[in-house]
Amino acid sequence: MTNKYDIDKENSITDEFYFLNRRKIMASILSVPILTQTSMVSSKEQNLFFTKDLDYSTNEETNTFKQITSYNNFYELGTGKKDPMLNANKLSTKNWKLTIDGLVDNPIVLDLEDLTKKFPLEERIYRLRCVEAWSMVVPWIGFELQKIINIVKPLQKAKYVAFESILDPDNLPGQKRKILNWPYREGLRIDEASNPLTLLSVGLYGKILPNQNGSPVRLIVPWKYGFKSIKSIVRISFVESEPLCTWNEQTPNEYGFYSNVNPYVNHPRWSQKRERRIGEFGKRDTLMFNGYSKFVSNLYEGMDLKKNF
Amino acid sequence: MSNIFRTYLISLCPLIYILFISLFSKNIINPLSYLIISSGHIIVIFLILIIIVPLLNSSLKIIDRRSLGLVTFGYAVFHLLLYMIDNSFDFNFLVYEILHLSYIQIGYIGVLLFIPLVFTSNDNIKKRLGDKWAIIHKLIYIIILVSFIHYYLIIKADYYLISLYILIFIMVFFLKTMRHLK
Repeated sequence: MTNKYDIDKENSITDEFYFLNRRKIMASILSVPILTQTSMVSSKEQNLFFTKDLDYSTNEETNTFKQITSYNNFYELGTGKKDPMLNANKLSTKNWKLTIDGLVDNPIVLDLEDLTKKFPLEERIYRLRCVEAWSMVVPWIGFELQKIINIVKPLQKAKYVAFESILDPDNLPGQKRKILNWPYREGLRIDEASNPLTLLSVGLYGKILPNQNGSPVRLIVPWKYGFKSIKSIVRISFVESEPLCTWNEQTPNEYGFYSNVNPYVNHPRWSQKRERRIGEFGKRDTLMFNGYSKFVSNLYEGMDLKKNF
Repeated sequence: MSNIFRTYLISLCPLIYILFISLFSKNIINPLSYLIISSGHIIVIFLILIIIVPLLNSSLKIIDRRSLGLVTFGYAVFHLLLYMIDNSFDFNFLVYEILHLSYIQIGYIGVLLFIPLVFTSNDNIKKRLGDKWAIIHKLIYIIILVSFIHYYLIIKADYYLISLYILIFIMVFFLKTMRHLK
């Protein structure tokens, strides 16, 4: 006679894998219709393969994913700090092409797959200091811009690198008004662009870069104010003379071409001596070149940084 | 319910709202900055409301203007206090900012200009001052202009909202002048 309470027999036990993951399995079944509609969201969940850099990364505590993805200046998606997160789906990265041209031997066009596969990726944990006197520590995934410079081989004449961001006023809510002279543009001197700190980032916290952080590819120049680190880049051009930079064009006496983090040069309207590290209560002192002096101070030897702000 | 009580009740709702959001919303990443910015907006909106109230028909006068003025001063003090908390009450730094930054100077001026209005906001003094009272209280217009300048000086690029505030202010001012001339 079988005992009807004898439910612990080997063959009636739910497999441990299914038992432990029962909620995830139910959730994935329920979410199938949603995921197929927004396949872009699921592709952003993709894990990237990368190595951890130890030469340039800080060992400071990183800000959380939530903080890094909910407090952004990305005027194309709105001027409020939360707007880029709320409007993130308005930026479409499908069929993205990054053109690298200008005064080079070998112009190239990179597509989405190239951006994450063509170059070995590494994680760089950098401080980011916004011109608005707040800062974060961010684990970017990317590769040195130098790698691209090596491939395209700039000509002798090329002295600067110009960057251009996406222009899509039909879909990007911030570009429906002329808040800035769209598209957003930025520039570096070629030696700044070749510095090993200078990164093209395609990921964050091991995954594809969220739209509000400048997907699919953005610049990271950690010793300069955040606005120099242009997001969602479509074109990188090697040029002879100093390229146009959007904030410099907007208010030339406030945002210089260099815009190196410098606690001794105030923004004309507010102080740059201190910063709030997001998540901390008090403010901390801002460091020269955002604490990257030993890597970059040689780039500016003999220059008056008060004049060349 | 008296108009005074009603006015305090309504005008303190935004404070409760922003405090609640800054403490409990997971989307507020920089709560102090959020509180400073949102209290600033509340002040500008209330200042404009103060000059709108006399334009309303008597049946619509459910807002007590004096109470609204006092609450707005309260928000201004709160706004200033938040700025000081934001800088950990570091005396040297606060003095440095007063000496060097014009938007900070103008902010302090706004709060100071409010003080004569606060001290003359009771019936006794109003009676004693007679015609002078009305002249003193014209300061509210200067305070509004000062707050616009303070706000303008910290905008980086997006002038949409401040333009809207200024437009409403001009419309109200125009309406009031028209009434005066009648």
